[in-house]
Amino acid sequence: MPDEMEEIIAEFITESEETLDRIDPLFVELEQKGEDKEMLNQIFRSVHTIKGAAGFLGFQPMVDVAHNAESIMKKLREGEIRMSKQLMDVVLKSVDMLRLLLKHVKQKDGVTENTAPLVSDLKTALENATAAAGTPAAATAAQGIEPVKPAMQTSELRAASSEPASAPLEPQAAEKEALQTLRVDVSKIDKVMDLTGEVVLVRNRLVNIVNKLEHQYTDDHDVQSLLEAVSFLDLITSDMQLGVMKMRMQPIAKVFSKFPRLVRDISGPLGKMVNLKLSGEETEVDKSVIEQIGDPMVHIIRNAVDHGLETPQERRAKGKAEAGTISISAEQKGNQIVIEVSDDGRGVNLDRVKTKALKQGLISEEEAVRMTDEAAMNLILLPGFSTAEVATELSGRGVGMDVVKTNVSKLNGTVEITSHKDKGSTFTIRIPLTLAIIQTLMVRSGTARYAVPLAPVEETLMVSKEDISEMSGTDALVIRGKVYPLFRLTEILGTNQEKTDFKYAVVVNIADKHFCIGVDELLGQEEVVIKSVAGMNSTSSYLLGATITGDGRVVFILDLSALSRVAMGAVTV
Amino acid sequence: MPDLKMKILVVDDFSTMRRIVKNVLKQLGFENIEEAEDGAQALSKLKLGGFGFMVSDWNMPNMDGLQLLKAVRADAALKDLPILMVTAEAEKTMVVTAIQAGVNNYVVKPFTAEVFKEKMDKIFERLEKK
Repeated sequence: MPDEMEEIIAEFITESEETLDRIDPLFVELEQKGEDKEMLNQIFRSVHTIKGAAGFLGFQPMVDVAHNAESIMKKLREGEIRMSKQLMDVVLKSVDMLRLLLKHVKQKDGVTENTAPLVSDLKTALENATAAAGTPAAATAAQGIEPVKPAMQTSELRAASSEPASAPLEPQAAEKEALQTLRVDVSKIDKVMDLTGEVVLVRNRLVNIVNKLEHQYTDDHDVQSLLEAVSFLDLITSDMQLGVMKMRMQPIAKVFSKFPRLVRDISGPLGKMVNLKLSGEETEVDKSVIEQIGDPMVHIIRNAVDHGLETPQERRAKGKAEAGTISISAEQKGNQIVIEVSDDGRGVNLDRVKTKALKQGLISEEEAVRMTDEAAMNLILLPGFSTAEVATELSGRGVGMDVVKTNVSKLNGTVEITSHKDKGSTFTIRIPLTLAIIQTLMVRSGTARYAVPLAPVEETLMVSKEDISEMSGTDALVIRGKVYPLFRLTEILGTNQEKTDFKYAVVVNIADKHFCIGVDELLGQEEVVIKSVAGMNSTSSYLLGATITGDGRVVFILDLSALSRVAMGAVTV
Repeated sequence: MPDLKMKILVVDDFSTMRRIVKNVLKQLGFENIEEAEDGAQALSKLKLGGFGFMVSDWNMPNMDGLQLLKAVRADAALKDLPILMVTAEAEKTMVVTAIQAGVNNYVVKPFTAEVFKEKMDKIFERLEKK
């Protein structure tokens, strides 16, 4: 029974957290729209439900908080009291408290919270609201369910029972939808994903072998049949891969739903008026993206509200609407998910950015002059950067933006900033759709083969000794008038410090930094499954992982972001 | 005490609650338990037949406890189904409405297995007396 209890409690926590997440955006909408019976009812039911289960499980503090919040919601729902900012604030505080209490249970940290002040606040808020409403319930008797005494008039009973109940009857479609979802443990899905990855590797092997056989035994009937079967397997495996990947995908609404509340909570103290527009919430992304994209986006949004948007007065002076608009959208474009956060504020002041970067020693005078606008924009993403003269409570400590870059890189994605003076700025985050499988360019450097992720590769060139020039101690290639730093792969990896000859240069673009990697041979493109290497510390190595190629050998997959940091670090001394 | 092999339907939109009720039923020896997330789903399942008892929450989306109750009582095949309503302390006012609509008994949450058993036994005693 104790195990059963553990499971029940775990389920309670998950479900309650989800429930609270679902009602969060409703509060903000309510504040803007005013009364909406359906929303009020949904919030009421959610708090009520959590209270019920909490009661069973003996979580008395939760019951107390939920009970008092529920009472407020009940009266709001029945129109007995009116919504107000104070009421909203205190109910939101109780939602936060419930979340906190749930977290303590989840973490089993034994921490107790003093809920007495909040409970008392809730009670007071309800009393005040009731007093403000004047005569209670009389006018709204027809709508509400009145407190009833046992010896009741039959006419009143009939009125009460014929009242339409909480939610309108929804069509069959909704019912069918409810029947078609399944709660599955993430670990089970991950296991299937892992196995699928293995199947992909085996398929690659088979394709490789069969192709060789085809060359040798072109007319053999059995080999032809084998070829057909493997081709079919190839197609099915791709479909299976896609299918499994989709199992882990969820609408990005899960992340977006926290934003209305975030914007509300930030804009108030800063005295900014913000209009938030969300679109593309139904776009599906991998679970890991949902888990990791939230933080970077929060930073970007905070930055937009704090630095991007002007105060209502400033905006009026510029002839803009008093309320600034922040638009957040998500879209699937081919193999990527593109997320944009735009504001119509003052735009990035490139001169200030460059000045600050100079002052902080992040760039040299020469670079500041030569640098393109796009490159200057991206200085914001460097660690330690910040243009706020005084670090405001929210941002300006120079920590926010580089967190964005780091987290997005972890997802193998990129982030870009574009901006126009007084028109606004846009942050564009691009993340590949599949995280475990990538297209690579196979190369040989020395005796070792490596897989280079294809996405950042812009082009490949044949290079002779004469093409290589030297600039301030590093090799460089001039390509169509632009200068790119050049590094031998063996050099960056530290396997061979000699400046040996090499034949090909792979031109790479990581977050707007261009550089070239010199290799001995280009071995073609291959789609590989990224497998982690036991014992490898992923944060300090230059590898994304390893894979087994079609011919059965183990090949390391390079982490170009990490390599670029080393390479470019060598340049900006 | 009713037949332990009887098929029972537990209805609540919060899966933790369904689990808790299911747990209580199992403690009492019942093993044949099915679940539904709301009144609409419950009704579909009931219509497939074979259920001897239903435990339902009151507040649910799509079709709530009261509507479900009325729909069951209005259905020729289901009208005699024993139904136990699960309610919160504050909802006691609804109890009269529920009884009028034909619910057999109600239990206030949180409840223990013993209390649940009493309520259940009461329902089946009364049914036998009829």
